[in-house]
Amino acid sequence: MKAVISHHRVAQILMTYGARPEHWPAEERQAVQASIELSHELRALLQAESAVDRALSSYQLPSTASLNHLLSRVDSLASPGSCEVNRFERFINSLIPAELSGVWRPCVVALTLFIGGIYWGWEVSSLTDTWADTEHYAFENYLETDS
Amino acid sequence: MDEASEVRRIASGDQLAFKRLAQVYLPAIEFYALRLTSNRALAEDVAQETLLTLWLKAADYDPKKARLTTWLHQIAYYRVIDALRVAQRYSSADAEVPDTTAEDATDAERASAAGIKNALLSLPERQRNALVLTYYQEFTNREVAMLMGISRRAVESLLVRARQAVRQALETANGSHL
Repeated sequence: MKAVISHHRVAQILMTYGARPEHWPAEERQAVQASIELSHELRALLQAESAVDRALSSYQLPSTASLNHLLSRVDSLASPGSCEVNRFERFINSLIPAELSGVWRPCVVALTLFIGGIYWGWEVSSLTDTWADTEHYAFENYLETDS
Repeated sequence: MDEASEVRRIASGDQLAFKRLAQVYLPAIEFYALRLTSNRALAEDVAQETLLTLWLKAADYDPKKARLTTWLHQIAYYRVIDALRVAQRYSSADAEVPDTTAEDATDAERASAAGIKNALLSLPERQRNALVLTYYQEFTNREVAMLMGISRRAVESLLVRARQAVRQALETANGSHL
């Protein structure tokens, strides 16, 4: 179904965005084009706005921005210490997909905590065994001396 | 090029990723600043500082909120405003940028380009920004609205007035009716 658009709105779009369809709001583009085809008045307005567009396009500028200067500034901002970190992070990033580049740090922290927890649990349980053994031997010694 | 991934790499210190994006955005931001200020030195400063912000604050960029180009233009816009307010260069700026139409341009085309430059400079700051973003930087009205922090209706209002002013300035310069 063709979208309905008023003559006033089409004129407003031409005076706002000019004559180039790629500058018109995407959701109204088709309806604007259809309306222009049907109206002499809108076609005349389109021509007038084309002249403004041509004038605007005539103002071209060459770029002189220095990429090398920018890169040397970035280079000087990166301290030697952070370069080492960057190399490490770059190595990690080269191993994993780009989507996971923000995820590996929390994963490393979680894994460290997990391994640390297992180690601590193992240490505590062996310590408990030792205590239990000590108490057992102490009790047996007590029984032996008592008897 | 997946820009969000590139920015994540920049956030982790990848200078090659930065170089790839800077090659695209350094000239784009310079053109934008130059059309807003018509001051070559200031435009180069703004472009350099905007890209340095990308290097230093890449982790702050959220691709869900805006395209990278929108984010960078927003940073550049505020830098332009700050720089112009400090330097108050509106009046002296136009002498610093030579008219730069193509070498084979006719006199009429050169005159038109000079007229446009003066017409753009004579626009109020917000009208000029809306026109430059929409016409030269090719942002949608939705993006311009977000970038300027105003409604789409307000963007359209700025654009209508900007184009009317440009048309009148050209008519005055040419002594004719466009």
